[in-house]
Amino acid sequence: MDTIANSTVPEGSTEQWRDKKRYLWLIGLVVPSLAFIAYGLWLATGSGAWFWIGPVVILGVVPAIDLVAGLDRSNPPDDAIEALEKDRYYRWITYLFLPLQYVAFIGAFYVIAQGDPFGVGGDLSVLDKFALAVSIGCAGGIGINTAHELGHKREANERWLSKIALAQSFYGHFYIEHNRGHHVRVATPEDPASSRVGENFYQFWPRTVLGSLKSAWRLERKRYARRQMHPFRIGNDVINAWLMSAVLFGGLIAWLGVGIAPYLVIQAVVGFSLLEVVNYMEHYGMLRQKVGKPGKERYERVDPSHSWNSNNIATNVLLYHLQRHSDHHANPTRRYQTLRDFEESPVLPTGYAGMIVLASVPAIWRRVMDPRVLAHFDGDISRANISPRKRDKYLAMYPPPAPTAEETAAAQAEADAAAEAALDEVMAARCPGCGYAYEVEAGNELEGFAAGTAWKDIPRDWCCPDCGVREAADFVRVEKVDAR
Amino acid sequence: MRIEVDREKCEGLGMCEAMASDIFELDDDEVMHVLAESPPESDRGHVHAAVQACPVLALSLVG
Repeated sequence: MDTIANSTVPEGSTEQWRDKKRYLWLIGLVVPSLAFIAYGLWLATGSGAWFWIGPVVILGVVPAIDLVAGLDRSNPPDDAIEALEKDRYYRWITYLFLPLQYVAFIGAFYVIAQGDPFGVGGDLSVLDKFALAVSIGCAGGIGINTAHELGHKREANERWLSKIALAQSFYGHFYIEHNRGHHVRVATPEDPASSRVGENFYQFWPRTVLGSLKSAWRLERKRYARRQMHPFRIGNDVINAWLMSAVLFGGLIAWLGVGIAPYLVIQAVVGFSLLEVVNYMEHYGMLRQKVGKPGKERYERVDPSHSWNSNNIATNVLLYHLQRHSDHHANPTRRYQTLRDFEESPVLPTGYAGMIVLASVPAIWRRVMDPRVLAHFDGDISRANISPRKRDKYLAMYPPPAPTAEETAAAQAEADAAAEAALDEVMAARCPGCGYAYEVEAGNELEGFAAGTAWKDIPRDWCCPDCGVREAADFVRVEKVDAR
Repeated sequence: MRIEVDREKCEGLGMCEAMASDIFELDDDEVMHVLAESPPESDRGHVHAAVQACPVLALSLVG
């Protein structure tokens, strides 16, 4: 570098922002590697207890690190985001997950079926086989998270890798349901993957597992119906994803015998249940309010206040910033390394991994989370997404604050103004009884309304001239009158 | 700033409408209509958010 006499560049002014987590992201590869560690330790010690390594790490070690390692709220600065997003190093970490996942998966099933391939460790007891299947299921569950990261991307190869990662847990339809179902309906009662206040994990599990399946199928059927095609074809992403799992499971059974079938089922159930318990906590109780004119209501846009976040670093590194969930919902295609923490987002008391332990005991979950949901909605639980069968109980337990007289009056005035404004825009209205339609443009001379008389100027108690039964107030707004 | 829609990809999911209802609208048959193909520059923020949020990547912003 050239130096110029008598010149000093201010210290630190040429420093570029550097990602402190750059190499920490490699820790995400630990979970698919656990089976190899367990295998090594089993050979070294002869104890099958090591096969429990998956749940021990995810439910014990990671939450413990979260408790002591503290929070990481660092965000990349705006001018660093583009370069960070383009840095291919980060995506290779997610790609590397897959070979590890599948070598471990296939290796584990070989050991379950045939015992140690090198003849050192011998055969596994039934309990050891069960433990190994659970650990492999844990890796498959974390693999769904990797699939989630890949499935949101614009690149076709990453979306394919996503489906491959899902094949192990027979959850390929997740890729469809999550992107096109969950992201659209998040934090509404219609979303099977958004949990409700008062709904414990064991009630949420069947609703989300069945609901997601149905939603994925419906989305693909609709996609083909738009083109006037039946949905039973290989291009249907639900069908080709399941086929991939069927070939994988079928191939393993043909090779290693039908004895592995129960363990295949166990690991798949463990895998997708791990995903679903994380789904359970991401939006617990969150509700988007309805906005818009009557008859054309829709849910307010998704914002940072609709997802539970966490900045506990161990889980964040393990799950590729999944816990920066608000930014993920705002920018679904944004890569994990650039996701940001927002001030407005509600924050869980600890990382997702620790919260899994809490979610497994509903009484503790309620104790910890319900007051937080209540506080999030400023003490008004009626604004939360409450389980319909618990609604009365919750409203009685946490009575919504009564609005003051001024608030009631203001709300009434606002509603009146909105109704008035809505009437302003009505160009035609139809009698719900007989189908007679009043058109602003034409008016109704016989009834004394000149052409162009606005609908809001028609008396609300004016009777339908055709049937004489229904009044103007009952008329339904229509966009235009079809020729009858 | 102009909004482009890939009609092959659009499935009428309505995410864009949720993010920017003054620009995108779904009709009763779930067909999406762009109400303003070249929205004013002042709307860039939420139009961009709506384009980003499309789950099937059917939307793009040109200019």
